[in-house]
Amino acid sequence: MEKTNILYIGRNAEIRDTVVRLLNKREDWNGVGVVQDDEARALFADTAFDLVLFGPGISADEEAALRDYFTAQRPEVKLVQHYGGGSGLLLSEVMMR
Amino acid sequence: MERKDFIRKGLLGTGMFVANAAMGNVIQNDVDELKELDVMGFNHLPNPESTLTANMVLHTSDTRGHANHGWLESKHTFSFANYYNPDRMHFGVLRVLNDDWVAPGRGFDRHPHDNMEIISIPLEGDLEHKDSMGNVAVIKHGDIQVMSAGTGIFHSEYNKNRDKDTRFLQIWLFPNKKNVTPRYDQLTLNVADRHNKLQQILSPNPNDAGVWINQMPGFIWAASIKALPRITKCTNPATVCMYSLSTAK
Repeated sequence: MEKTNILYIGRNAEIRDTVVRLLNKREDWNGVGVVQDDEARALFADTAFDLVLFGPGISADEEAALRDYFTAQRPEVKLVQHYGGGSGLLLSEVMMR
Repeated sequence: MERKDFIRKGLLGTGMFVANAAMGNVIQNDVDELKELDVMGFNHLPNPESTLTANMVLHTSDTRGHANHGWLESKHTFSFANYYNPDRMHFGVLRVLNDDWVAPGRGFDRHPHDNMEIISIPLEGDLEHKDSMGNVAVIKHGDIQVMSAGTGIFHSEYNKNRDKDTRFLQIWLFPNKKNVTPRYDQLTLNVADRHNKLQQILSPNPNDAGVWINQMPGFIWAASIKALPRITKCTNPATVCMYSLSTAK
């Protein structure tokens, strides 16, 4: 089964852990999560992500820098603001890409 | 904004009905989609070019998404959890409108929220709330609860009753500011004030009637179908009015 690889970035570690757990409950999704931007960039360089989810606590400047970096590396990757922090909107956010 | 002005604006605002199927013959409007209201980035403001602005959007009860988890039965007006319908994603900044029935003593274990304005309105029964900000509260019919999730909160919600379901509306709105400091509030409203008339329950202004949120739409509650003829003219996209007329599961 081809999996959708998803990178989650958010400053709240407990919410990150929850979202990553929820992502990996689905067999067709593979989620990893980080709280630091450097970690995100390093992972992005090594992994063929299909989607990046932006969680809470990331400033506008930080998010803009991340978006520029990701787009420069692989413009086809969808960058999505994740809302809600739980399972409620995850499916929609992944499916909408 | 003064309360009367706010309500007047609400009366002229874009309307949305969640009605039972029997209402379908009453409302002279065949618009039942949201394609003109595309997602537009963070602020998700209603599209001023939308041709829907002179109309209401009718979602009949039987067209909503449905989930039955045994302890929880939920009707989803918009895509939520395992219900995904690309034509039912949001209405302006209104992203989630769930009609939830929670079995006695059961509920939602501790779970997170972030960057959402979350409003809960019990219709029947009592809902016990605990959160990571230290709030412990019970909300009941007539109350309205609001959380600005912002940078992140955890909370749990249980039906406090041992002998009956608790039914409540769970409403999420996109915030107009990201990463605000989390906030909790609740308010008891006079239910009699919404009998056959509109009652303001929520506002963007902390000094206004009802609870306040980090977003612009006003929510106005219509308690009875008898109020319908007075609330069918919604033309301004700046305000979201929500009228929930359904009582049936």
